[in-house]
Amino acid sequence: LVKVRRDAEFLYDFPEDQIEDDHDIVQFGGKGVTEAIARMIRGLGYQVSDPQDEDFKGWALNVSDRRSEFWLRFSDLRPTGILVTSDLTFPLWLWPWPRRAYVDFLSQLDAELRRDGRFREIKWFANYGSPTEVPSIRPAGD
Amino acid sequence: MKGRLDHIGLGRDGMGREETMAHFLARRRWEQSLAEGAEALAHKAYGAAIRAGEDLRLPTTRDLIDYGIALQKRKPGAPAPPLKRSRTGKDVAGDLAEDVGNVVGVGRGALNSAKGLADGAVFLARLRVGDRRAEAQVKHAGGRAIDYAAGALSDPEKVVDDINEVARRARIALDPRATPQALTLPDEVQRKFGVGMNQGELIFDAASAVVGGPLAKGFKGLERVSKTIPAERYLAAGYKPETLAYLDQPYPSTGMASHFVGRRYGLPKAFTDSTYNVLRPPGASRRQMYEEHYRVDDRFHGAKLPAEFAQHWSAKRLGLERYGPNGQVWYGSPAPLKARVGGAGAAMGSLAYDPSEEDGDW
Repeated sequence: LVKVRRDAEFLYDFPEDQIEDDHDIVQFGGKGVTEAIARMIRGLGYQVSDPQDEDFKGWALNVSDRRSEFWLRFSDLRPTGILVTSDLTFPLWLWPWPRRAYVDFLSQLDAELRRDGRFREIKWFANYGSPTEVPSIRPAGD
Repeated sequence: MKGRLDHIGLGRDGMGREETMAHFLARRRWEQSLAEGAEALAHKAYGAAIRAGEDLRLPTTRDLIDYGIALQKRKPGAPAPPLKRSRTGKDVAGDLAEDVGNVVGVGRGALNSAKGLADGAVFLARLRVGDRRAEAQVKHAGGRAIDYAAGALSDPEKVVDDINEVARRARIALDPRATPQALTLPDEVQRKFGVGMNQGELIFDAASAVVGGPLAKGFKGLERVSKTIPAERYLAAGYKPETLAYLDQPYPSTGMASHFVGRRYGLPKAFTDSTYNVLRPPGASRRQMYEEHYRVDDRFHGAKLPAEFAQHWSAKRLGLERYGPNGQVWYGSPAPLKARVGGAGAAMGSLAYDPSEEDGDW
């Protein structure tokens, strides 16, 4: 049984793009990083939405191909970025284990993040935030 | 009974014994109440007979009362046709059954509504915690709606036929005149009772739609933040006082707040961004909003702050813990949704409930 770690934490070198006025945040930062991730995933052959503003939660992407639908959200907490993902594929809800397509997608994404020189120290978590979890350098496997 | 009514008098009772004044008055009151009940019942039967076009001959008040008493006692030989096949009898009993059906129908409406709302709550809860099956059902229902809309565009007459069919079924279900009177009294009672129940259920549904909507919306703003961690904990975690002061400002009214069912599920915006789905406790500070959102959303971990603070709000840094699945559903759902789903009591319960009293992973 393949263990899936669906959330990633990494360091990154991107210019700050948060927009603020004299009083408050007008647009939360992280859109640029999310656009870069979207381009990366498009290069893998998936259809990817434009980044969607989710306010203080970050920026979201909807990813799909012929058989799968995934959702990602990036939170710009520089120098650390958090990328959470979900498999929202219909109608494979009967399948009790992580789908091969999801595992493949995360593995491809991990490889692309590592190939891109702007992301560093990429770690994957099954339950991000858990004080006891030891992260892995791979999104799937033991 | 006619004899008793004709020869009422102080002196002797029906057994020929001397009757006291107290006994006489008690008997008189009983006979009067019997006569009044019989008269009312007979009047109703008379009206039904007139509506049914039946010739019911009751020339005097006494005949009317006697007929009513016969109806009360179901006596054979009353001045009417045998009740089981009497059109008048069926009307009277049918009307009564319809009235009773109304009451039962209101109860059935409440029961079905409660069941439906409970099912809805369970469904939303499943959706909320990422149940794939619930997500699939939403998408499947959406797909069917789209299929129907597409079919309607190519064949608009089908929509007209469907509407007519729905109207026809509604009339049969709700209008006793839409179907013929049954042959026997038991069948007629059953028919009218069924129609009455349908009417009662409709009454309940209509009333709850009128009252339930505004009532539920009235709960908007009644959410509260369940608990806030002390400021000292922020300072101990390394947050600067000026950062804490910013986090203590009110959460902006223009902010996206917290969605019970996430936007990622692609439900219609009319629901996703409605008061039924957006949790926005009034007066909540920024940190209260972030803390509460973290506790109910396992896909949220931290929020960016203005650059001048050079810090971010981080649940991990603060050592926050999430609610269990039930707590996520309870605290993650806006008060209007609770009011709609669980009734006012549930909404008020959310205000009165103190999670600090709850042990374990709720």
